[in-house]
Amino acid sequence: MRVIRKILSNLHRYVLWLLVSVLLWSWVFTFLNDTTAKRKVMLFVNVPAVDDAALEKALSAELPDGIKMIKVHPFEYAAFLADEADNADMYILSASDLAKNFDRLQVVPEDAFEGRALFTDGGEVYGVCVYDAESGKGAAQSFLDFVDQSGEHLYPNENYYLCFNKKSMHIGVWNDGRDSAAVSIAEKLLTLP
Amino acid sequence: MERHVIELYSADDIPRLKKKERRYTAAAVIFGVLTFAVCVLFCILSRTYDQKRMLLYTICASTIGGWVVISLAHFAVAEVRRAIAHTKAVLEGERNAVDGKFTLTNERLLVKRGVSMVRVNVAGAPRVTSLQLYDKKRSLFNAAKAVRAYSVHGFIAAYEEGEEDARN
Repeated sequence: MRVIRKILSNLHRYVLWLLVSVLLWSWVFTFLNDTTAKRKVMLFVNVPAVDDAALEKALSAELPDGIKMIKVHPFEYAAFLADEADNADMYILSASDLAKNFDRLQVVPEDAFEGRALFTDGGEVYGVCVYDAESGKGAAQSFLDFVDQSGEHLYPNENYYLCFNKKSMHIGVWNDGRDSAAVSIAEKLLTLP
Repeated sequence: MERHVIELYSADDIPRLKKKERRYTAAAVIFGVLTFAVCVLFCILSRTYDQKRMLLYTICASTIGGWVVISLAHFAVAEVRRAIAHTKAVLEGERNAVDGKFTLTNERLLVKRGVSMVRVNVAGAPRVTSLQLYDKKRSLFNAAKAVRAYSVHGFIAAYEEGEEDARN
């Protein structure tokens, strides 16, 4: 009883240390394992489920020149780091989400991803299909789950598209970016099982 | 009837308590350093293994290690420091004799600076109705045989033992 009372009298210290631990080590890990935007390609994924660590590993097997890392973030991550979502290089979005974000997306040439279904609006291509809801087939399905199995119906059963942030510095073939690493990584992602 | 005085405190207590304090402090420092080393190891491993898992392990190790260090510092070390301060105060303070019939109660008190005490009631004393006995000295105090207590700032520093008739 005395021990419990003593612990309770110091509860604020224990809680404070827990918060310090979380913040301190999160910062240390980010500092050690992160890199600058120039050397990193970031993919934000808004699908029902994603194995982000495994997808990062698969995409990082052969990195394009000048790129040190690939980051894959589920979209709920943007709740904490809104800037990172704005500065992402690529997005995987449902057709309905994509239609709401034309202003931030890069228009892609029609012949950029030959043989793939594209998302077009007003004659301009905004994304390449990664999941076809009708056939249930798609790319990287070992890592991405496009069907909402939570029972909460947060995600509609529709096509998903890979699209590019028009401010990305890694789509140099289409804008004035410094390299085209995001395009190479997108091609790789589309071939993943 | 012969009486003899039983001292509850001695000057030898202080070096013994200081040694204990050093031991607890060393344990807290060693535990803190070990925790930090484990966290650094997980940081290094994060380059090879899953980063999120390593971060989780680091936070767990750091939190638990920190809690142990906080517990050692705030319970063990602080308690010994308070005991040293209390012992010094009792040894250096002015003693007052209190005669009466002593009863050791189960009532615990946490006096200023957090030293745990038990209350000793004194029946028949003109002014003082109760004294405080340092919890760690409880086993040395025989209330049934005590006929006179020497108190410093209200704490029992020593007492005299005598037979029942000695009280009268």
